[in-house]
Amino acid sequence: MAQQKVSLKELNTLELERKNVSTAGKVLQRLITALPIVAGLLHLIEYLFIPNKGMNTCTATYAYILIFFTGVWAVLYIISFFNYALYRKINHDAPLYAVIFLLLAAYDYATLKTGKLIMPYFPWVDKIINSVISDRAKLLDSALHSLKLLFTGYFGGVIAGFICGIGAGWSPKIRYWINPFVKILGAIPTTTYMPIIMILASSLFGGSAFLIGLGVWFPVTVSSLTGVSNINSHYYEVARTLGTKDIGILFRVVIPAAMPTVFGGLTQGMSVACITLMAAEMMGVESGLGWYINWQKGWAEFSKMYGAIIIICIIFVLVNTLLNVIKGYVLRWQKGVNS
Amino acid sequence: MEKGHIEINGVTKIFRRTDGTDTLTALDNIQLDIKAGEFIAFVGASGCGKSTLLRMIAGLETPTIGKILSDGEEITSTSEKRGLVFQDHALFPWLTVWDNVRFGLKSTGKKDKTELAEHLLDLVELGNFKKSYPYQLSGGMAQRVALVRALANEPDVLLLDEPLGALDAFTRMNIQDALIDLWKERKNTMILITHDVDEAIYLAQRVIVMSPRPGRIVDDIPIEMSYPRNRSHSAFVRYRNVILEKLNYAHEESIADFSI
Repeated sequence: MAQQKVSLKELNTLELERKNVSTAGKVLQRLITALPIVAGLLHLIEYLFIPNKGMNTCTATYAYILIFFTGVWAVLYIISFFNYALYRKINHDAPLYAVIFLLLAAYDYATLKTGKLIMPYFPWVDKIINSVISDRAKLLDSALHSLKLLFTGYFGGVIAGFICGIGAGWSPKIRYWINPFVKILGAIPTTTYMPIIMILASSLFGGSAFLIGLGVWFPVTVSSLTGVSNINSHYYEVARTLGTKDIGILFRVVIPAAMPTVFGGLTQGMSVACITLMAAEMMGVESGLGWYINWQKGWAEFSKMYGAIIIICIIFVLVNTLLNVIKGYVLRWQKGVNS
Repeated sequence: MEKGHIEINGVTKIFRRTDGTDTLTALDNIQLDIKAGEFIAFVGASGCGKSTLLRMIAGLETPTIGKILSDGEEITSTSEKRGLVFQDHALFPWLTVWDNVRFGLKSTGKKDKTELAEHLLDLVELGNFKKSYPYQLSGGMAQRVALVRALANEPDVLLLDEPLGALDAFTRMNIQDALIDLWKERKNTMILITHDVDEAIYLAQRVIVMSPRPGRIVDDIPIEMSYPRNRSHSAFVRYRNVILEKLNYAHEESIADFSI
């Protein structure tokens, strides 16, 4: 209820602000919002009508993709005339998307159309997309392997780090034993241990998962420990005078109160996990996207390599978005997290 | 027998400095009897040990010498019989108003006894804010929720550590009235720590004046006025003058002989 009120109020102020803008200014803003459509069409024309350089070939696939994204923007643009919130959003994003279309067009022109950037190192986007499509089975398999390794290591590290950090924050005795290990192990990048793990571990998957976990364990331990140390002591005292016993205080006060700080460690841990994952797959694990990239590099299949890199990028962005969604839900009680 | 009787028997609290070289006597031989259902206020400058005394009654700290008895039993730890409200409301920010208010009920296995919590929340006019999170409340609203949270557990004694100190004058006066309403309703013992002399006279049946370094009781003044009290009434003004004089006196000649 309260939140609805705020957004209404916000909308009203914006309406007032909008009244100060002249008609010409409004029309200009509408035109700017349409820029991605113009840029998308320009790219499409460039792609379809400029002749390819020499032996370069291309398919209709990329054209369809361009039409799709330009079309999506056009539909949003039309709806935005009736939906002010959507208009605000796409008006804000329009210049960025227009520039992305133009950059893609420039890249396409420099590779496919003129060959200024030479093959095979710089394949054009259509070629990358087609190699991803043709090798999709292998790529899907690699992506699943990567995700399996990433999450096995990540969750292992998160659970261990959370228990260590909360324990160390809660009890000075546990802190005494954990702190030195945090200091020593935390100072060394986990990829340093990679060669040892490759030799010692009976299973490369297990060894790599352990390394990823170790890399995640450190920031999660530190953030959980800090989170517990910074809890307002009045929370404990009030809880105790309300008749809450130790276990209750741990689960109902310490852990929820530490959560905002813990999430800092979870995010940091995810970035460490992604780095370690790629290192592990490129150095020894014989599956996953990191391995795929190395393998295709060996065959000088650069378009497949780029394809895998784009997929990795998409996966990591999605994983981090998921983490942010979880964070937004868990910390919904915090000011500014959901407003 | 009525519950909520607190007996402070020759309590002295000595703190050791963190470097271990020196000690600090926060409270010196405090002797006091607080009747069940009484509204008592402690006033004094900062450093007079009034907060320490309150923390010891709560069971968060133990006296160096002496004993504090709650209904005849020595206080050794915290108890849900003695609720506590701080100056910073200390509402759990991750819980809604309603979950905050029921926090103690869950701890003491009275999860379903929410009628009182509901009634008290209505009494402080926050019945419509059950689903709000603490960050969405004003300071005064949050403090009222903190009072309800403490009282929902049906404590025999409510300990108030400068609960209104951080609020503006108008909010403070409103909550003072709310406090009287809650007290009349629950009939529990109220122990208030404040440095606002007017607040002490407005609320309490008895005002204990304390002096700092070491903390001692200077005077024990019964306030014989009926509720609701008028802040500009001549008796009110007289009490104010008496107490302020005591506080000044304590300030100038604090080393001199005080007997309790």
